[in-house]
Amino acid sequence: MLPPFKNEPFTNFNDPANKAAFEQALALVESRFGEKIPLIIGGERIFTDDTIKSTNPANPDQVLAYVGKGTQELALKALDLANKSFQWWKNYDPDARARILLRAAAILRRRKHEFSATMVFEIGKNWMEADGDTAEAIDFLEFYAREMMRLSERQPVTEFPGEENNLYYIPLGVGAVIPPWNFPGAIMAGMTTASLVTGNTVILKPASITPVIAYRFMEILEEAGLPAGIVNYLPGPGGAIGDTIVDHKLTRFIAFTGSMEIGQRIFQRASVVHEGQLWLKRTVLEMGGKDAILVDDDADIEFAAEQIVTAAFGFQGQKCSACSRLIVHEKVYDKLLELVVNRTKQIKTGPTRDLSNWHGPVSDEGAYSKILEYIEIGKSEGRLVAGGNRAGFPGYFIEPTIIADVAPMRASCRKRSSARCSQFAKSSLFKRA
Amino acid sequence: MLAVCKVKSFQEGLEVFNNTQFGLTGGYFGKRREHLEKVRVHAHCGNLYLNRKCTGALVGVQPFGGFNQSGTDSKAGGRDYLQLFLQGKSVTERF
Repeated sequence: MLPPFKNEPFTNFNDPANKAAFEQALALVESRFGEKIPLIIGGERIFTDDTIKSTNPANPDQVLAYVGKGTQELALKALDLANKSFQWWKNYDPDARARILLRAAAILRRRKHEFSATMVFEIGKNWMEADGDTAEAIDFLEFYAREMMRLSERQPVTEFPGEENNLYYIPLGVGAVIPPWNFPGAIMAGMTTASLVTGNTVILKPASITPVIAYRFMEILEEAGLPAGIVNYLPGPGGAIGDTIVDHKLTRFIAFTGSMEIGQRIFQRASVVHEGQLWLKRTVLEMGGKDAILVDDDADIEFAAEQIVTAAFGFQGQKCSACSRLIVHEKVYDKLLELVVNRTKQIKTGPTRDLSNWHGPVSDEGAYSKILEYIEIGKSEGRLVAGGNRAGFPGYFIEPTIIADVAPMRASCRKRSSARCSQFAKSSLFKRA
Repeated sequence: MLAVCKVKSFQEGLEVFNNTQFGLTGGYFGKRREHLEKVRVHAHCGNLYLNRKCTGALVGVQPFGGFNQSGTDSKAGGRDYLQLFLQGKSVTERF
């Protein structure tokens, strides 16, 4: 019997052996800079003339890879092939599908630091954040493998005299999987494998700024024995490729994680029943947040301050779960704010290739200019008490920034702020949209 | 960027907490049992953390996903998740 699920442990980088192994993985990823990455459609590797440049946000001159750029024609080809593959994959033994995930988890464990190091360069995660992302990817594989085994067992239904009754869980069809850039390993792997282990086939359109990590995962799935054509790797612009795969009559479901705006757009487009479409499309959408922490007058404020700073500025505040609003009881407001500001000022910002830099660059140029713009708005709505400036490197570095004394009665979420996942969506001001 | 605001009471704080179109994660720091129980029920978000940070959900431990404009209420890394990728077929044979 399979041992029960348990979470993958995080790597301790205080251990010199782990640190050395991670340095080696970073060097390996660096040695591949500038590589050409193809699309994978129906198992065929397709190189395109027009490419997506995946760069290091800590140093945009560094190109991780030139990645194949999907076209509408290639998207239609992928949909057609995914639909053909579904006709046999849907009947593939669920246990065998689950075992592909277990093998992939084992391979990912072996290539753990290489996978994490890729995220250090491609999206600017620090070592611990990247390691956590990889651990979560492994967890998804292990967890969903077991879940599929459970769901393919005999399901409980009430007995009825003179009848044999059964409930089977059967797959949906071709799924469009559109993951975010902020967990480009874990969420990408989670949505992709949840789709395939249940017997669906997949068009995987990775986030345009993090296609390399998704390609590494494709390699792992292939090595784990996933047959060709089950997951089709189709990077490309959201507008052209995204809409094509969301709208198509052969698409049965859309699994998406990203901004509220794109999520709503997908929700709306998916509701249209196109000519020749047999089903109502299902959507699994994970959008942003405007996450708040409330601190009461009897809180342990030393501990709260430490936790708040981690939640607000870990991975540059770009997690969907990041704290962007801090609500504090007036009795402890001044003291807590002082503790939070002091801790924030100690944060070291810089290229996360270096373990000592906890706070790295933001995702890309678009996010960089938008955040700087929000900081200006923030200054007009409150009091700047930490950060507020560019952090002086060639990449997209911004100091961890805190705006205090924002009026709670105006508290709400700015609609326009959540341009990408919740992340810096955090214009974080408490003002009404 | 972190925005900070001052509130006069726990109740006002809870109202500000919920005053958003989203509902993904959230946190509360405090010790009174009465307030802890109230936050547990009335703070409307998919992943609520009492006396710890609101990031770092673990697969299987904290199924992850939020309410309202945070999405379609799915919980990744939880027992309900795979059913979103499946449909149930009931088969009855009379004998």
